[in-house]
Amino acid sequence: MTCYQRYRHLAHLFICFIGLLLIVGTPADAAPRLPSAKRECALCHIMWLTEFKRDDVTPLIAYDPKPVEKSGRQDVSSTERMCLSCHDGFVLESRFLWKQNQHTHPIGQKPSEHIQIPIVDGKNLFPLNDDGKVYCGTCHTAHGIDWSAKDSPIFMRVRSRDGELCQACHKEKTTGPAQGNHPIKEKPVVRPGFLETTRAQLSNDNTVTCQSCHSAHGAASKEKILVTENLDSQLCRNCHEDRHASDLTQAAAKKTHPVNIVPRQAKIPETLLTAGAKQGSKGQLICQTCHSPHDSKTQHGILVKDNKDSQLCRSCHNKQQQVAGGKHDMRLSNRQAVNIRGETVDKGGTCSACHLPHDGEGPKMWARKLPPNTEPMAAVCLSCHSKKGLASKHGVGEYSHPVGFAMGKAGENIKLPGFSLDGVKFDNAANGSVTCASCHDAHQWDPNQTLQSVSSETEGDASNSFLRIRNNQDSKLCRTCHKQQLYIVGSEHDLTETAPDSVNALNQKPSQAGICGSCHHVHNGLGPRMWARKLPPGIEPAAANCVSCHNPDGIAKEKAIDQHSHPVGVSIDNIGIKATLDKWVSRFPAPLGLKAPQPLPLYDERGHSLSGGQEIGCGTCHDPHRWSPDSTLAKTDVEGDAGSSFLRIADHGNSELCINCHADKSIVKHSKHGAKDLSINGKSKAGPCSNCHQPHQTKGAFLWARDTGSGEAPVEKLCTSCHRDGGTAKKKLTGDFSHPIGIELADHMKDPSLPLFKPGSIERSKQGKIDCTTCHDPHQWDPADMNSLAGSGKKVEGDANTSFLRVSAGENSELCIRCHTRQQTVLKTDHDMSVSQPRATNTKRQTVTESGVCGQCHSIHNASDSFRLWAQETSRGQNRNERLCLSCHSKNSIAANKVPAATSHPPDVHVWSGPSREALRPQAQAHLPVFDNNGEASKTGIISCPSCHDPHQWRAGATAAGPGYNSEGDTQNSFLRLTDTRAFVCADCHGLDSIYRYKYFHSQKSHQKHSLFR
Amino acid sequence: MHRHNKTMSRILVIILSLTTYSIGNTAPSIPTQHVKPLRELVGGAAGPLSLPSDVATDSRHVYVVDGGNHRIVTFDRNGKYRFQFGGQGNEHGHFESPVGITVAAGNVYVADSGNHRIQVFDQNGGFKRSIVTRSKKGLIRPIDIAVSPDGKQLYVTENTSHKVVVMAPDGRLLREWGGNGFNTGQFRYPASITRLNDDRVAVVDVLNTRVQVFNSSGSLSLVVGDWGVLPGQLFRPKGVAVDHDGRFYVSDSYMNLIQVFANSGQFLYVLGKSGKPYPFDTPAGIAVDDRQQLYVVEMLKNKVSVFALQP
Repeated sequence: MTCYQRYRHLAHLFICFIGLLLIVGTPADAAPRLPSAKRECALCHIMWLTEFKRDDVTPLIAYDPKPVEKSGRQDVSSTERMCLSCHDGFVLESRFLWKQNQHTHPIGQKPSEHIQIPIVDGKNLFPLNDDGKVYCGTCHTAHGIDWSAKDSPIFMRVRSRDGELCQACHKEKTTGPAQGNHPIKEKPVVRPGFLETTRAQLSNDNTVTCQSCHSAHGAASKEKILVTENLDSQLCRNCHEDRHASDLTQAAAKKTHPVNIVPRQAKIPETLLTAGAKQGSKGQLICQTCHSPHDSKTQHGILVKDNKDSQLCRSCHNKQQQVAGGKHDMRLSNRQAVNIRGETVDKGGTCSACHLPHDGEGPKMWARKLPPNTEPMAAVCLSCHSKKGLASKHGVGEYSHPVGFAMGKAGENIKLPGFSLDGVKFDNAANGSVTCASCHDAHQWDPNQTLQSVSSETEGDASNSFLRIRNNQDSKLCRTCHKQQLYIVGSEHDLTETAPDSVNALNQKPSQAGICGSCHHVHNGLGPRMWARKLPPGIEPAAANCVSCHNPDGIAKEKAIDQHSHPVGVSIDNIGIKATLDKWVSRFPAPLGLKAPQPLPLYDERGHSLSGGQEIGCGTCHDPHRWSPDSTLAKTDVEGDAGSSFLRIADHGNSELCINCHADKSIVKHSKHGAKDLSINGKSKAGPCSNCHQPHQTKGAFLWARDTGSGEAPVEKLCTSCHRDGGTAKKKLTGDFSHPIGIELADHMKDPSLPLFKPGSIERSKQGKIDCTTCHDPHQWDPADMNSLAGSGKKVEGDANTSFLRVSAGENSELCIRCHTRQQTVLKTDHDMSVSQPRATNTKRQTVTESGVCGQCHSIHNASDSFRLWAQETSRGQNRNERLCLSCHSKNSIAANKVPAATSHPPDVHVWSGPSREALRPQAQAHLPVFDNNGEASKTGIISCPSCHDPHQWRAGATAAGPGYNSEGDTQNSFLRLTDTRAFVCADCHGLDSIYRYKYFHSQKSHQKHSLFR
Repeated sequence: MHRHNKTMSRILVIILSLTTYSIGNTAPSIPTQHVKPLRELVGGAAGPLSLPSDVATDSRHVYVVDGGNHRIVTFDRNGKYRFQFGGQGNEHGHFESPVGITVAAGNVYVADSGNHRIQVFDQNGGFKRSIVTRSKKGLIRPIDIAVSPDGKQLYVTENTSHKVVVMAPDGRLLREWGGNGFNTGQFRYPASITRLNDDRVAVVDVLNTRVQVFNSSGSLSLVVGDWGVLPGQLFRPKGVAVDHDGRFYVSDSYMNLIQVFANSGQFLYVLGKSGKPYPFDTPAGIAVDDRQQLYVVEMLKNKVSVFALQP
C-alpha cells in the first residue's frame, strides 16, 4: 500500500466515522447546520435513508420503498401518506383534498386509449406507477416546476396555470366546438361568480380553460370532477346564466329552451340517452340533455345529436314534428324567408323557422320578429298572420276572439290550454290566459288526423285550420269553453231553429255556420263580439249587435228595439256606480238589507265588454245565450216576461234586475207607488219598477209604462197617468189651486238644489222649470228615512214630512224655503204657529207639525183659495189681502187678541206706490205696496194690511228668523215693513196725525184713551 | 511521520473494531411504554369529526379543532359530546381551516389560519374577540397558539415567515423570533406550540424535525429530537405536549407514533408495547390534561384517542 493509498484509506475510514456519528445523534446545542442534500431528499424519499440498511439499529418504521397503495405499487415518496404529512394544515393547508378525496382526478387506473401521454427523451413525461396506473406522481413531483414560479402551482411536472398539464394528456378534449368540444380560450360574457366560491378558475387571460369546469382535487362533483355539481345544470349556469332557468316561467322570460324541468309532453327518448344525452337528478331536462361539452358528434352547438333538419328537436318533440309537410312548414310555404338569425329553413331546420332554443324573440323562443304592443303569445302568431306578415292572407282582424284574459273565466276543467304571457302552457287548468294557441295547435293541421300533408294553397275550414278540436256545426270547439252559452240551444236565439234560412255575413246559413257561427266569426268579425251579421248603421256599438236582428226589418222584427228604450251607451257612473270587471260599488245610499250590486257586462265606446268600459249596453241586462236566468231550459214561441226574456237577473217581484243598478230606487216598493195592485196588465210577477216603467217600447219619458195623462209639464203628464180623475190615484189629485209648475224660478231665487227641467223635456237643467218631481221623489215616501216602511199602507195619509217629498216641508219648511228664501224670516216669529199657536190647524186640519210652518197659511195642493194658495178659512174683509189676514186676526180666530178695531182703510182712497210715490215724496224712500182689486200689488191702489205689514218678517229689514217666542210688538217690529213711521204711506196724507190714527186703529189701549175717536 | 501514521492506524483499527463489534450485535428493540387506551372522541350530535388537527382541555371540557368542518367540537372530560361552535366563514365566530387551539386564562384561543387571526371564546364557545395576526412584515398565517397564564402574552407560531410572534391580547406585536432556516432558533414550518410549567414554550419545527424549547423572551433553551427514523428521531413531528413531570410527548404524523423525551431532551421511549409502537394514524395535535390523560388527534381517522399515562 502506498502512502497515497494509505491516506485515501484513512480518509474513507474518517468519512465513515463522521457518518456514524451523525447517525448516533446531534446534541441539542449543536453547531449551525447547513442544508443536507441527503436530508432534503429524504423529506420525501424517506427510504433512501441508510438507517434502513443497517443491522445495528431498529428504525421506527419498516423499510418499504414501494408500498402498495390504493393506486397501486409505487414509490413511497408520492404516496398519499407522504403528501398529507405536509398538506395537513400544519405546513400547508390542503385538508379539503382529503375531505372530498373521492372527488379527485382518478388514480389507480390505467390511462384509456384516448390518453396520449407525451414522450420526452423516450420516457413518459407523466410517469405511471409500477402497475402502469395513474398515481399522484404522474402529475406531481418536487422536481418539476421551479419553486419560485408565480404563475403555476409548484409540485407539478409541467407548468399548469392555464390547463397545460391537463391538455398534455387530454388533447382530444381541447379541440373546440368544431370537433365536438366545449370552447376554451374564450372569454365568458360575464365573469362568473363561482370563481369566488368554488375551485373554478379562468386562465391568465380570463378565458375558459380546463380548470374552469374541472378540478383535479377537491372537486364538488365526483362526476367528471366538476367544480360544482351539474345534475341540474348548475355548472353550465355559471357562465350561461342567460340560458339557465329553474322553471318554465324563468325559461320563458329568458327566451330560452326550458331546462331543469321534467318534460310533461315531450319525452326524452332512450335513443337520445344512449347517444349521450343526460337527465337531471329527477329526470328533468338539463343542458346536457342537448349539449355534450366533450365528445359531441356535431360540428355546431356541441350537441348530443346532429340537429340537421331539426332532428334533435324532433327527438323529444315527437308530436310537433307533424308540422313538417304542412302549411306551417316553411320549406313548403316560404323557403326563402329567414328567421332572426338570418337562417332559412333549409339551413336551420323546420323548427328553426319559428323557434330558436336560445336567444328567441319572445315567448316560445320565437324565431321571428314580433309585432309591438300585442299580447305576447298572440304576437307570436301575428308575426306572420298580420297584414304585412308572411300569412297576410290569413290575417287576424280587429274583431277577433279576445286574448289575454284569464282562462279561469271560462270555468273549470277546460280541456284547452291557457298560457302565461311568457308562453308557459297550462293544461286543463284554470291558470293562464286565453290566446291563439288555446284553440290552435300550430303543429297539427287537422285535430283528428295526424301526419297529414297539406298544400300551402289548401284553404282550411272549421274541421282543420290547426284547431285543437274540430268546430263544425256542433261548435264543439267553442262549446269547450263557452259552456254557459250552450243554453242558447233551442232558444229563440238558436237560429238553426228560429231562422234556418237566415244567413250571416259569410252568407252561411245556421246549418253551415253552426249555432255559434251564425252570430260570431272568431276572426275578422264585423263588429264587437266578433259579430257575424251585418250591423245597422248609427247604432251604439254596445247595442248594434242586437239591433242587427231586432230592428223593424230584421229577423227579430217583432221584437224590434225602438228609440223609446232603456238608454245604452251611457256610463254606469251616471247612476253612482263605480264599476270594475269584478266588482260594482254604488256611491249612492242604498236601503238596509239590499245586496251589493252584481257586476254585469259594461262596454267601452267601441262596444267591447272586457276592456273595462263603463257604458251600458244590451248585454248589461240581457244574456242572449240563456232564455231565463232561473232555468237552463230554452223555450221558443213563448212570450218572455221579467223572469225570462234572456235577462241576466230574473225579476222575482222585487225588480231585482232594475235595482241592481238603481239601488236607491228600490225603496219604492215600501210606498204606495210600489204597490203590487198598481201593476199593469196584471203582470204580477214583475216588481214595483214595472208599475211605472218598462225597458223597451215605452209610452213616455222615463221609460213610462202607463198611458200618460194631461198636463203642461212633461213629468206632470206622467204623474197624471194615475193622479187624475178616474185614475189609479184619483184620491190624490192636486186640486184646483196648486203650486204652479212649468214656470221658472224668480230671479231672486237661488239654486234650490232641486231638479228643474228644460222646457218640454225631462232633461234636467239648473235654469229649467218646475215640474212635479222638483219637489217630489216618486220612489221614496219619507225623505228623512230611506228605510221607512210607513208609506206602504194604502190608507196612510201623507203630510209635509212625507208624501214622496224630496226634502221635508215640515217643521222648518225646508223644501219651501229652498226656493222661497226671502220668506224664511217667518220662522220663529208669531206667524210661525209652532211659536204662537201650536195647536192651530189649517184647512186640512193639519197642525204646524204636520203642515210645516208655511203649510199653516199656504196649501201646495188643493188650496182653498187660489190667492196665495191660502190654507186657512178666509174671513170677511174689504179686499182679498184683508180677508187672508182676518182668517186669523178676527174674533174667534187664533189671533183674536191682535185684531184692530177697524181693519180697513177707506176703500175709496187710492194712493200711489212705487216709483210714483217716490217721485212725490223722495224722503219717504221705502216702497210700501198698494193693491188692486185682485189683491195684487199695483202702482196705485187701495191700502190694505200688507201695505204696512210684511207677514214673513217680525222686524223690518230682518234677515234671520224671529225671536222664537210670542212677544208684544211695538212700532219697531210687529211685522211692519218700516220702523220710521214718518215714512209710512199714512203720512203721505195724514202728516203728523198719522201716528194717532195708527194708534186708533191698532191699539185697544190707545183707542180707549182717546174717546174722541170713538 | 511514519510512527505517527502507525499510531493513527492503530487508533482507527481499535475504533473500527469497537464499531464492528457493536454493529455485529443484534439490533436493539424499540423501547416502548404502554399506556392504557381510555376512549375515543369521534363526534356527536353535530356529526362526525372531519380531519381534526388539534385538541385542548380545561377542567371541564375537551375542545377539538374539527378543521374539515371549520369548527370546534366540545366534549366533556368523559368523552360525551357537549356542543360545537364555529362553521366556515370569515365572520366573527366562524373559521377558515383552523389548525391549533389552546385553553388559558379562562378562554379558548383558536388559530383561525385561513382567516389570519386568533379568535378568542369563552369556555362555552361564546365569541369574545378576534385578533389579526401580524409579524413585522405583515399578515401571517397562524398555526398554533400558547398563552401565558395571565392571558397577557399570546405565543403564535406562523409559517408565513416561520417565526414565533408574541402578541398582546389587543393584537399588539410584542416580540418575535425565529425565521426560515436550519439553525437552532430558526424554523422551517413551526407548528404546534405548548407552554411548559416553567413559563418556557416548546415549538415543533416540522421540516427541521425537532422540538425547540425557548424561554419566554425567545432564547433557545433546549432542542428535543433530531431528524431520522430511529428511536428518538423525528420525521414529521406535529404535536407536542408535556406531562406533569416535564416529559415531552411528540407526535409524528408520517411515522404514525408518539415518542417521549425526558425534560432534558433525552429520548425515553415510544408509546407502544413490547417493542412495537402503537399504530396511530396521522397523529397531529396532542395534549395532556391535569389527570395525566393524553389526547391524540388522529387526523385521517377523524378521531381523538385518549390514554391514561399512568396506570
